[in-house]
Amino acid sequence: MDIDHILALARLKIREKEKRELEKEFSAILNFIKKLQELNVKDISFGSHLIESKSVLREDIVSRKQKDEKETKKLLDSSPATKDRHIKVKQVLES
Amino acid sequence: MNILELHQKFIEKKISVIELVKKYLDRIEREDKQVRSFLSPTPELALSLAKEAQEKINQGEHQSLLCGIPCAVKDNILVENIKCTAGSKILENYISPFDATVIKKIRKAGAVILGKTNMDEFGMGSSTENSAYGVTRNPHDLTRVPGGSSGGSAAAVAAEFCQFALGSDTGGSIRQPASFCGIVGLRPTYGAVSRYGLIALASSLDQIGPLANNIEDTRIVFNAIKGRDSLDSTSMELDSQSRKVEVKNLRIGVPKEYFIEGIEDEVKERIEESINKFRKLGISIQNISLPHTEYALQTYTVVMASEASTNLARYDGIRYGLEKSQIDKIKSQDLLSFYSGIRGKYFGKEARRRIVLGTFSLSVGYYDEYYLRAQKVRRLIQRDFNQAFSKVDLILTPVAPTTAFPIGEKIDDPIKMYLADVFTVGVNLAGLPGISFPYGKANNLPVGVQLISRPFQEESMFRMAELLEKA
Repeated sequence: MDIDHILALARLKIREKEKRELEKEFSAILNFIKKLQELNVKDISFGSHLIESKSVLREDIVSRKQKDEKETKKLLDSSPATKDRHIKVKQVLES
Repeated sequence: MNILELHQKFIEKKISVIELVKKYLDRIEREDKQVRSFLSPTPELALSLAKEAQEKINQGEHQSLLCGIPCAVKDNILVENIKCTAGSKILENYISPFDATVIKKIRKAGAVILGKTNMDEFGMGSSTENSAYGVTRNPHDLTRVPGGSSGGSAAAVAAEFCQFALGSDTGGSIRQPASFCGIVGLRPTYGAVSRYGLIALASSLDQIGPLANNIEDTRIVFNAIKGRDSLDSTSMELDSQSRKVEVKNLRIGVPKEYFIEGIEDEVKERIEESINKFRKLGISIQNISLPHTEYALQTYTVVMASEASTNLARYDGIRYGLEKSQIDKIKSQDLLSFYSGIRGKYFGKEARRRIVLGTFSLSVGYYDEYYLRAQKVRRLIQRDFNQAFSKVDLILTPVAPTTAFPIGEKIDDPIKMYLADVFTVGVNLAGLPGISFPYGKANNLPVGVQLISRPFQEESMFRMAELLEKA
């Protein structure tokens, strides 16, 4: 497993020491999971529920009018960096 | 006292809600220093809810059984305007902007929320040692863990800091701490209780459920929180047919794969005694087999880590969760390195471990062999349960291979910790309900017995457990 590749995908920056520890733990965990390869799963369809359920759909209309500015403000107030109803972030593209 | 008795006392004006709540808040303030079950006690909210509940009772309207009843809420269930951390630093300063559906329901019923309880970070753990805010201690023995991840909720009930608590169970996180703390814990059928407002760990496995001192209290809370919710499309309405069940006609199956090496001797003895007790009460007991049990833990590890890595992808520190001083600690030129810096710094070790495992299992080249394969094995495990339920109505197993272990004993070995969940994960994989109820002690520590039923047959588990409770 290419740990740097996985860390990049996961957006996780960690120290070298922890990387080495993780690699070791990983070896053990992957070894543990290897047991699943014993089984023949060729004829099994992918599904995750015991109870067969149908997709739940609704009409694509606004079902709940936003109460007012208060709700938007509440959500924006959760951010530590806002300006004019926007959340401020670092530059997206490398310069 | 149980909920029904308290309810009677309120109606007869023998106790006032405010007096009772003040008593609980005082007890928490004095004694929780030792147990550390609460992350955020909410005395102001509690007193205001107590006042409302008392007014409802004074008006004499037909009141919900939960009116005035004090409770604790696991810190991954959102309560409006109250801090919600999920036991993680990355949400250290997150104030919830809304109530979870279960909270809306219990507030409407008049329950009084005393505070938010400690948990393993994002639900990842079986001991509450993975909390970023310190470990909770087991009220039966303060040198030992309360179990996890709903350890704070279980400890709060066991220490009599509340009448009941809400927790969540992804792989045993209600049942295992309930068994370690000597109380009742219910993991409902997948879909029985709305997950809207529950901070997601693994969306195909998570459920919110009650922890309480006895079966009737558990039943009362479950009935108050269950039901279809339009905000959670995986939630379903319960089939109320189960009320008509005659408990003496229910057959219990005991799966041989759950009685293996590695269970502490005295724990095994308690479980066998419970089986014999049921037998003496005239219940039919049969041996059954769940042949794919030996793959359950591995299946769970992959499925849970994969779904967790997806659910935790949203935490970026910039939309919510952190203060300016915390984000300023990250030196970065661009958004990508900002994200990586924030997440690397504010997620705990176990969360980072599982995110990495999950990301790996879902990545190109590995998805088929890991995630897809695990989901297929999951199907085999579900089929095992399905087949068992053609012969029996309930399945009885231990909850955990040991009683509460000492703090620090398993924390350095992730796989050792995962093994603590060996008897509980199958239930989550199959979407079934499971209950842990206390039955005796081993080495002076509580032991729990697990019953598992068909989907939406929680009442049959309650009735069967009550047979032993009342015996």
